[in-house]
Amino acid sequence: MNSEHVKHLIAEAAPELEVVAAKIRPLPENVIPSDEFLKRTRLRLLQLAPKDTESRQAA
Amino acid sequence: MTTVSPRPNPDTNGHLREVKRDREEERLLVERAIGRDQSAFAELYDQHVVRIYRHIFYLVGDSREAEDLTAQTFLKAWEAIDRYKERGAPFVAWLLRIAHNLTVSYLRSKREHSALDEGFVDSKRAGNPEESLEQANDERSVRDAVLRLRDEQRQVIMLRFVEEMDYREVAAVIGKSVPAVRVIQHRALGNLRKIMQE
Repeated sequence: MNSEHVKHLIAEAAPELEVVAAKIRPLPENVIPSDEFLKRTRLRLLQLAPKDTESRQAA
Repeated sequence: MTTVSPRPNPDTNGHLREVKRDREEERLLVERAIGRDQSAFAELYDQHVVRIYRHIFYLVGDSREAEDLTAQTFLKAWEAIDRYKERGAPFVAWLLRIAHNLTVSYLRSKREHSALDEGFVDSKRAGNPEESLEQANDERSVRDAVLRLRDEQRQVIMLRFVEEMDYREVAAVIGKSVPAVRVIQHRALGNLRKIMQE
């Protein structure tokens, strides 16, 4: 597919598609994980890592 | 070419230098993580966990499910990190791909057992008195429409409009050319339009 064809495809319906694109918004900034989750998961990663390394070496 | 764009790109020299330095720092961190350096991986987690969570939350609409899938994403990333290959996209692009695939699989298996989750409006958002019911419904219908797109189209829409990546970054994430991404986006928006008109 050449770039002229791409340009044509996009230009053809751009106004209608802009309306659709404008509806897809990023999430509000207050959508974040809990502090408790962040700490728990970080700890879990640090604890799992050595075991994972050992199991790989054993394998 | 097209005006369908999430936001203009900052392109000052200072910004570009900063991006380059950040990418180099990240590259070193990733190298250490590949060498099984836990603290380096934890730093990568600190840098990207919120973004991964938010991506997943957009798809599942539930904070507990999003947290579970976020944890799974990082566990899977740790298991697979020695297979990571830098392809011109930032490291988070690789994490986003893992997160996206995990979440889509999860939603598929969930859908087999029940109808789509009705509780998209999370308590954090539902508690906001300024958010009108109309806006919440609108967001939900858009999210549901995005979920009905084919995998590749959904991923492009998410990366472009939810993650606000530029075409080049999206191309690197999905392994396609920039013109191909433009075409996928065009078709995806067309399909979204049809779905939302149903």
